[in-house]
Amino acid sequence: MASSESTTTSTTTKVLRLKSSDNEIFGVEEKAALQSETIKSLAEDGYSEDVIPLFNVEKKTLAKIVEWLNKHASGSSKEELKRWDADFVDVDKDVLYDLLLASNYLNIEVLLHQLAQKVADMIKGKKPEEIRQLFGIKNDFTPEEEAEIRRENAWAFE
Amino acid sequence: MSDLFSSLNSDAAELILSHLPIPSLLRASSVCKKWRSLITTPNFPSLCHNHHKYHPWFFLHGLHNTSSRNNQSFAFDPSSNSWFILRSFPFPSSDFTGSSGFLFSTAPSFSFSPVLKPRWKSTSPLRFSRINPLLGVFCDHQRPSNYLSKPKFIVVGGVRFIGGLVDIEDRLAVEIYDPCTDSWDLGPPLPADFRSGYSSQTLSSALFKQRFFVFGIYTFFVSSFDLDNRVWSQVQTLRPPGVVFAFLIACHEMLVLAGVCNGPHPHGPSFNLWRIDEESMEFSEIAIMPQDLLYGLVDSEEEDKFASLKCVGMGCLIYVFNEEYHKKYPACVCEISSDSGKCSWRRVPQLPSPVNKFHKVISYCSTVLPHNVFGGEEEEKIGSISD
Repeated sequence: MASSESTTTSTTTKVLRLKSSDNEIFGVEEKAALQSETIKSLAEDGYSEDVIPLFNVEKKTLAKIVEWLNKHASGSSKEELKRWDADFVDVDKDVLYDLLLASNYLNIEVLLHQLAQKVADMIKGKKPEEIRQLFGIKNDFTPEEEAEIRRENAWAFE
Repeated sequence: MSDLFSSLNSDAAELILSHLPIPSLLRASSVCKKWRSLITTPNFPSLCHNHHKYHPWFFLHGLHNTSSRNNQSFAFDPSSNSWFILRSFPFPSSDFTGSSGFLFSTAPSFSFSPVLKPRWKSTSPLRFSRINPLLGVFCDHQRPSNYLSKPKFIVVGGVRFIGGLVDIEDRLAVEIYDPCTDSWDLGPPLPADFRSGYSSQTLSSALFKQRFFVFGIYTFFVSSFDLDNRVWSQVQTLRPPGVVFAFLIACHEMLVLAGVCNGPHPHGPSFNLWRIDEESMEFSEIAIMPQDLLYGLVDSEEEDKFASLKCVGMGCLIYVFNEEYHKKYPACVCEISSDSGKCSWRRVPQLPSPVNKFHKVISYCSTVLPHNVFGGEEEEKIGSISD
């Protein structure tokens, strides 16, 4: 596959240093780090020579993100990545929540999609009341409005 | 996790919602006003994944022997792997069908409706009123298309219907409906080679690369109608060795023939899929249904037990099911992976009980897109015909 070839030919191994909000520094190969659009634009703005500060990401979350970035730049086969990703997003709700916010902030599209899919899987099959409870969302519809929405596509609410 | 959505920006929330299958999306739209507005904005459907486009639903409508009150309608969503009961579905007649987001009834007058939210509208009359024609939905090549543009309908073959009488000998002109002008254009009729039956009971059709393919389920003749130049291609024969009867299906990126085969298979008849080259009509086998699935579809005692198997499909999915009552209309589905082309079969769950006994079932598959289920007035405007 094309992706596995690229690992053997990469000669420059420039390392970017990412700093978490709680001041932990992670060294990440440039190729891996630039999967994040946010890091990419910070690097282009001249941060690349010293430390890139990521004010919105704590070290425990950044450690996971770095793990993901490295894996996805390692040239693993498509099947292996698929298995690895499934394990990666199989985490408890709080971790998932932090990863989602971090990947949203860091703008890592592929990871964001994987995490969005995982949250969507939690919503799937649940009733509206259960979804509200799960995410602490307040029902701001009037009973009439809610009944009207249900009536429109009653089959989906049975 | 409790305040996840209050900390996420709208883009991320929208992204999460765009990964939901349609039934979950409908329920999510009643969670709160913020979610509803995200889901019902006009550009939300374009964010949604091709998932909706390539994983068509399977619909089954049953007409009851004696009382129309016992008619039933079911819809299967492959993404949530569940059946839904469509209560009080208005049957327009005993002859209707569905295709690509629409339902069609052709006699006594021609009418159509969006799937899942039936609102029937009559068109100006067909030149040749008919029952059981083949139907297709397509977008004009010349006009730019998006999900809101009005598609055209093509009506092919069928049996002439005048004052309740039918004439099976008649070769009826192709008619193409333009919803912008509410008018029908005529085209040349099906080639005479199909004379043993011009109706959808003996023909199967597939719209592929701006061509409307017609295939004789039992005769194995195939011809295609060029939608731009409005001519029929030369009739060819498409008959893999051992095939008993088959259906032609337009999948995401290929034309597929699916049918029962008395081939060299050691365990008796099999149900096979072949990939078809749309120019040369050459075929290559891509899948065989596992025997346990095949025998789960039929009553093993009956002699011609496979004769009532039917097959519909589009996108990545091909549904095979039994039109006879025995086992309450069992079905299975084959998913053709869009990356690898690998075929994987699975059983479709049983229909939700109770299932009445029908003298006729109408079945088809259709995509269900977000704009098919949301929006009342908006859709009304888009789908309406100027009359």
